[in-house]
Amino acid sequence: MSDLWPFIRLFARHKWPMLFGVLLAIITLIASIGLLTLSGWFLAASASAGLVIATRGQFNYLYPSAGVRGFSLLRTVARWAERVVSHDATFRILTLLRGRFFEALLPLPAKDRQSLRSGDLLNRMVSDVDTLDHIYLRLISPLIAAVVAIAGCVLFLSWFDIELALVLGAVLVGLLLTLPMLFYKLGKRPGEKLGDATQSLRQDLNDTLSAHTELSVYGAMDEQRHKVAESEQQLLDAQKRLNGLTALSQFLLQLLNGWTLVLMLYLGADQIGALAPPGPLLALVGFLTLASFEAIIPVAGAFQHLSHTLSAARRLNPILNHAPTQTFGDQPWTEGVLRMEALNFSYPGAINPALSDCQLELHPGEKIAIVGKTGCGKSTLLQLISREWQPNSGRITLADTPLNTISEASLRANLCVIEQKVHIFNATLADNLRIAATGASEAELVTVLSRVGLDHLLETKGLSLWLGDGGRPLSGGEARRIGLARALLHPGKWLLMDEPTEGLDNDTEQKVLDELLDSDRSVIYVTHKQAGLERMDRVLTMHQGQFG
Amino acid sequence: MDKVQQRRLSLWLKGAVKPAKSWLILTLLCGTVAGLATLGQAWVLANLLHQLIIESTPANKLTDAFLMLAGLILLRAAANGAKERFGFHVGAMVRQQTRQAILDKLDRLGSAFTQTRSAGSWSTTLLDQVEQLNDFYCKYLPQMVLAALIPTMILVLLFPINWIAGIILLATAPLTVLFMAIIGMGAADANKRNFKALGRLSTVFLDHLKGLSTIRQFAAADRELNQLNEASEDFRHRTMEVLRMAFLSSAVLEFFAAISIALIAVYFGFSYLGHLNFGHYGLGISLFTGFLVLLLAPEFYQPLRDLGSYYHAKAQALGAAESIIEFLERPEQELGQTPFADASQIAIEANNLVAMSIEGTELTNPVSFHLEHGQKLALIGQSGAGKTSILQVLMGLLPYTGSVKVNGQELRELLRSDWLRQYSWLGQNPALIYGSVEDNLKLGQKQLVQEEIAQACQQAHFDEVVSQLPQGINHPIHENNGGLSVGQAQRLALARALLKNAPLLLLDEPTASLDAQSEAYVMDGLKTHWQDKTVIMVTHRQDSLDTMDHCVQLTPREGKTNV
Repeated sequence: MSDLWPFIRLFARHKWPMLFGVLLAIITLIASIGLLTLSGWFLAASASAGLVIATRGQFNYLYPSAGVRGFSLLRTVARWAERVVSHDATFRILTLLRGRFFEALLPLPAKDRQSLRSGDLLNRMVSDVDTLDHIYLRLISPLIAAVVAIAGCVLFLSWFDIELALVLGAVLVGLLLTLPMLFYKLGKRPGEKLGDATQSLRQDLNDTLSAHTELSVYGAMDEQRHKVAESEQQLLDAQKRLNGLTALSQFLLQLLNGWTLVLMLYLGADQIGALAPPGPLLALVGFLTLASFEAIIPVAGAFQHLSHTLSAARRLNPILNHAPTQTFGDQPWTEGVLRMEALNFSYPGAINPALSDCQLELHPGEKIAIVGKTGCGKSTLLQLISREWQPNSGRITLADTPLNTISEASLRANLCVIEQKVHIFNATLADNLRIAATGASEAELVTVLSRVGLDHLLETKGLSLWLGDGGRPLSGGEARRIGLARALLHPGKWLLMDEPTEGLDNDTEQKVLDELLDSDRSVIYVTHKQAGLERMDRVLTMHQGQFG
Repeated sequence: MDKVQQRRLSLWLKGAVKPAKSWLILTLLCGTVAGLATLGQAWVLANLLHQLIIESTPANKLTDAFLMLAGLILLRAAANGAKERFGFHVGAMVRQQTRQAILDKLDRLGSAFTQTRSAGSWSTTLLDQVEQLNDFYCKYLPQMVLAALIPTMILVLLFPINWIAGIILLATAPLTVLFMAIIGMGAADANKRNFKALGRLSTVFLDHLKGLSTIRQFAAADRELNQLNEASEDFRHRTMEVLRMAFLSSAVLEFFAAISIALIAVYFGFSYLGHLNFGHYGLGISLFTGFLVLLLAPEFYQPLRDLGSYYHAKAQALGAAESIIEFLERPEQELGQTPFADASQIAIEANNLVAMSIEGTELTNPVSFHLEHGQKLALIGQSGAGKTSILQVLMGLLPYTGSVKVNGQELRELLRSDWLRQYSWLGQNPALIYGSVEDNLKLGQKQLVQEEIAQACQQAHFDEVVSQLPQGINHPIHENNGGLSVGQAQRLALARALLKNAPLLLLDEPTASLDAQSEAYVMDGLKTHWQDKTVIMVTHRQDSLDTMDHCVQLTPREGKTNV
C-alpha cells in the first residue's frame, strides 16, 4: 500500500475540490437512502392511519410528502455534481502526473535509459496513469462516504430500537471490513496478470508492426502472429478471472442485501423498541436496510481493482523517483583547451573497453577529424564529451575546469552535437529546425535549408511541411541533412559531428562540408570516409579504443 | 458523426456479434430469469409487509413467506452473476476476431502501408481501441433487449392491479428514452475526438522518447515538455467532454426515476388517507399494492438506467469502430493469385516501371532494365529519387505502373506469399526483433544449424562482434537495436539476410554504416554469396559499381532516367 502514498499525497495537495467531491458523495448517499426509507414509511404510516377514520384527518402528510420530493431532487442533483466535480479534479491530477512522468524521463542519460522500452513507457504513461483515477474515485471517496452513511443509518435506527440498529450496524461494518479485503486478496493475482498481459501484448504488437517488413520477408509472420495471439489469450484469461470476481461480488452483495432484509424484518416483525406490534416502523426498518447497501456496493468493487491500481503505481514510482546518474555542476563555460587525460570507458556488460587510456587536446578554433573502423570508440568519445556517458576513469577538462562541473545549460548552449542517427520529430519542418535555435527567423531557416541542399522540401507546403511519422517520409540522406541544418543554426562554438555525411552522394557531401567547416568553430568530425579530411587541422586515427 | 454513418457503424457492430451468438442468448436468458425473480421477490416482500403491518400477523406464522423470499433473493443474485459471466464471453470473442481481422488486413496491405503510421499508433488501434468495443457486446447489446423486456413485464403485472401506477411508469419511460437519445447523439462524436486526442498523445510521447537524446543535446526540454502537456491537456478535455455527457444522461434518467417514485409515494399516501380515490378498478388499494409498486418502480427504471450508462459504452464503441471499420473496408490493391513455385533462377525485366504510393501517386520516374539470372544491377541516384521505392515494388510491397516480369510472369499477379520466399533483403535501417542475437539470425528459420549460422556471421563480418559480446550469440537485443552499435546491427541484419538462401538478393545500401575496411570484407562476403544469384542493390557509392553488370541511374521526378 505504501506504493500509493506518493499519489495520495499528490491528491491531498488538491484537497478542496476533492473534499467537495466527498461531501457531495455523502449527500447523494443520504438523499438516496432517505428517499426510499421515507417513502416506505410514509406509505405504511398513511395506510395504517387510513384504516381508522378518526386518525385520517390528523395524519400530517405535508412534511413527509415534501420530504420525498426534496430527497428525490437532491439525490439527482448531488449525484450529477459529485461525478462532474470528482472526475474533473481527478483528471487534472492525472494530467499533471503525465507531465511529471515525462519530465522525469527527460534528464536521464543513455545509461539510465538502457533498460527502458518505449512501448512499455507508453503503457505506463497512458494506461497506468489512467488506472490511478481509482485511488480517489473508487477508493477514498466511496469509502469515506460509506463510513459516514453507515454511521448515519445506525444512529438513526437506534432512535427507534438499539438492538436492531446494532444488528444492522454489525452487518454493514462487518461487510465493509471483510468484503474489500476479501476481494482485494482474490483480485490481486489476476489484477497483476492483467497489467503484465496488457504490457506484453502491447510490446508484441509494437514488435509486429515496427518489424513488419523483416517478419514478412523472413517468413516469420506466422510465428509472430502466434505470439501475439498467445499474449492476447493471456489478457483475456486475466480479464475473465477478474470478471468472475465481479460476478461473485455482485452475487454476494445482492444476496447479502436481500438476506439482511429478511433477517431485519424477521427480528423486527413482532416488536420494535417498545412498540408491539411495530406497525409502520417495520416498513421504515425494511426500506432502510434495503437502501443502506448502496453505501457498500461501490466499495467492494473498488478493492477488487486495488491490486491493478497498486501495480500501476509500482510501475510508475521507479520512473518518477529516478534520479539521473549523471549530474551537472554550476560552472559557466569558459573558452579554452579541451583536454582529455587517461580516459577509460566500457559500456555496461561489455568485455572489451570502448576507450582505453585516451589522450586528446583540442584548442579553440581547431578542427580535427577522427577516423577508424566501426566500433573503434570514436562515437563513444563524442558521447563522453556531450555527457551522455561518464568515463570510468580519467579526466575531461575545459580550460582546466572539469567538464562535469559545468552547468548543463551552458554546456548545451556552447556544444552542438550531431548524432549519427538524426531524429526527425513528428512536427513541422520549421519546428524540426528550430529545436537547434528557438528564435531563428523563417528567412534564416530557408537559407539554411538551401545551404544543405534541401530547398525541394519547401516546394509544397514551405516550412509548415509536416515531417516524421505520418508526415512526409525523409530518405536517410535527407534526414542527415536536417541534422546538418540544425548544426548550422546552433549558436554553439564547438561542433561535434558523428558521421554526418553518411548516405549523401559525393556532390552533396562536398557542398555540405564546405558549409560546415567554413567557420571559426572548433570541430571534432568523426568519420570513416576520406572526404573533407584535407581541410582539417589534424586527422587522428583510432583503433580499439586508442589513438594510434 | 451523421445519422447515416452512425447507423452504418451500429449495423457493423451488431453484425460482428454473430460468432458469439450463443453466448449472447445465454446472457439474455439469465437476464430474463433475474427479471422474473425480481418480480416474485417484490410480490412476496410486499405481501409479507402487508401481513406484518396491516394484519399484524405474528412472524412465526409467516415462516414460509420468509423462506420463499430468501429463496427468490438467491435465485435473482445467482442469475445476475451468471449473466455477467456469459456476457464476458460475447465481448471476448468479438475483440479477438476484430484484432485478427485488423492484423490480417495489415498483412494483405503489406509493410509499405504499415509504415505510413507509427507503430505506436497502430498498437493503440489494435489494443486500446479494440478493447473499447468490449462493453458494447458485454453490456449494451444484452441490455438493449432486457431494457425492453423487464419494464414490459413489470407493466403487465401492475396494470391489472392499479392503472394509475402503470400510467406513471409508462408515461415517464418514453421521456427517458427520448432524452437519452438526444444526449447520446453527441456522445459518439465526443468519443471519437477523445480517441484522436489519445492517439495524438501516444504519438507525441513515443516520438519524444525516440528523440530524447536530441532533446537533451539541444536543451529543448522545456519546449518539448510543453508540447506533451498540451497533448495531455487536450486528452483531459476530450475525456471530460465524453464523461459530462454520460453523467448528464444518467442524471436525466435518475431524475425521472426519482420523480416517479415521489409521485407514487404521494399518490398511494393520499389514497390511503382518502384524499384520492381512483386507479384501482374499484377494488380498493391495500398496502400490498402500494409496496409492490414502490418496490418495482426502481426496478422498472434500473434496466433503462443501465442501458443509459452503457449508452456511453455504445458511443465509445462507435467512436472506436469508425476508424477500425474505415481501415477494414479500405480498398485493397488486388493481390496476385498466380502461384510461383520456388525457383532456383530469377530473371527480371522491367519496362517503364513507375513506383506508386499506396494512395496512387507516382513516386519515381519510369525505369527499364533487363536482368538475366545471376546478373547484378546497381540502382544509383541522388537522395530522394525513389531508389528505395523501386526496391519496394520489387519486394511486392508497393503498387506500380508499367511492367515488371519475373521469369516472364508479371510481378503484380504473383501470390505475394510465394514471391516473399524468392528474395532476401537488407534495408537501410533494419529492424531487429526483441530477443537474442540468435533469435534474430534464426528469424523464420528455426531449423538452421550452428555451422550455417557461423558461416553467415563470418561472411557478414559479424563473427568478430559476436566474439566480443559477453553472452555471445545469446546477447539480448533491446529496442532500437540498443544492445548493438549501428554498424554492428547492420552486420547482424546482413548475416540474417545471407542465411535466407534465396535466388534473388535485394539490397538497400547494405554497407552504408560500415567503415571502408569492413565494407570491403562485407562486399567480398556478399560477392562469394551472390555468385549464382540475381542481385539488385541500391547504392550511392561509385566504387562498388565496377562489380555490377548493369547500372540504372534514377533521377528525381522532374528529370529523365538514363540507363
